[in-house]
Amino acid sequence: MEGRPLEDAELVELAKGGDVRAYGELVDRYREISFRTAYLIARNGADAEDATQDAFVKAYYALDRFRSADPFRPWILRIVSNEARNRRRSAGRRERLALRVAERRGPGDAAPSPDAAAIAQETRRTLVAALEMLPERDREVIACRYLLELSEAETATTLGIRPGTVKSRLSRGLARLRRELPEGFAPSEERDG
Amino acid sequence: MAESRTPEDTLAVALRHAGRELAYPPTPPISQGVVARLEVERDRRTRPRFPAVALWSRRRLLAVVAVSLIGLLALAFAARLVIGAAEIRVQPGVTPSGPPLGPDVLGDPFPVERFEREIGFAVRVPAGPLPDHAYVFVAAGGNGALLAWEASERYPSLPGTPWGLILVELRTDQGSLVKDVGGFDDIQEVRVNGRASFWIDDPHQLHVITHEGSETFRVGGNVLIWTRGDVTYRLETSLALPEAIALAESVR
Repeated sequence: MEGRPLEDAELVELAKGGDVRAYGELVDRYREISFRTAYLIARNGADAEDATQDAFVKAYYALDRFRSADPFRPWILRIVSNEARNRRRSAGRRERLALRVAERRGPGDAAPSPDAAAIAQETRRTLVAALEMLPERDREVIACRYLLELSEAETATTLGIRPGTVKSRLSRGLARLRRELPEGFAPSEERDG
Repeated sequence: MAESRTPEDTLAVALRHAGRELAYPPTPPISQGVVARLEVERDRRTRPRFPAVALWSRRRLLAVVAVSLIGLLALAFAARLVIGAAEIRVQPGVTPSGPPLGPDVLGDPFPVERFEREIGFAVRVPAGPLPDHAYVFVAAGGNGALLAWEASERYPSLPGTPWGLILVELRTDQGSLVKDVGGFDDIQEVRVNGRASFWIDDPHQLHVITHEGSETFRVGGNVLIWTRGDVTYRLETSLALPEAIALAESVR
């Protein structure tokens, strides 16, 4: 179909009618955020891939229970996070998340001074390492809200908790994170956005 | 006047910036796999019932047949399942050709003591007897291992070969093994260690993609394909599905 790209709700309606290709377009739209969510929860790339694919297949068969007017992203992320958790639990692993801060900046990014870039990168490494020390529930809510930059409402839906619980866990998680950071650690004053 | 930030705010901003700089694994092309799985499932669930021919004129019947054929062909061309380094394509009417994958086409066995160094990763084997033969398996995505067990009471013989069990291990995500099957019914999605895997229990055709082109083999045994980490496994056996899954899950 030519013209404007279809809205999520339109693709959902087509998919509900059995249009698997339309559903494939929805998968393409949300595969990256879904895979990253699964990765942060399953803590393993292969499990994250399986969890994401299985979640999208299950979601297709559950579309009848989804209201097309609702946002698709938090709904699919909820299913993805459940799948990722199931895989992590069934595997019985407690892997450290191999989160690394990217070494290189993209060619289009503004280049900070070498010193500033090195400090910023070291700051991020320290933060990610401290995040690893947090309990799972705190880490997940911080990962969704800040690393993935989901809204509070999306974080709540994704993790299956109430918005108020997101706020309280964030507050507690950040306090714990601060305690895990080295003494004198000062996040660089970067502008958000 | 600039708004003062609480310490938590500063930390939250730093976390957002850290999140944007994380080196996530590359996002896999999930949509192809999802669509292919849904199409296979749809085909299974909606087997067309032929309408009562007496109620249809010959012309209408021909039109329906033509439209159905076009639809089936379109569906078939679209059907492409990818798992690790293997791809399964539905090709209606395909006739398996080529020699069987056996000792006659694989050259000399490789000394086991140099094996892992040659292929670059640790070879795993199922519980039970060790393989009788080992070959380095050269494909476009890199070297792999082909392990073979002689036919025995434990491993009944595979058509066209003296072997009873073949295990291929390939560490690459580059498509190196392509299987052409005749229909959706030939492919069954199963679970190995809880992960999506595929079982093909009809004769089919295997293309091994190499740097020079591809080599084609006729496969007469049942084949189970699964992945573990970044390694793709392909088990060929005359055993039934439950025994094949048990063997696959015993691979250590």
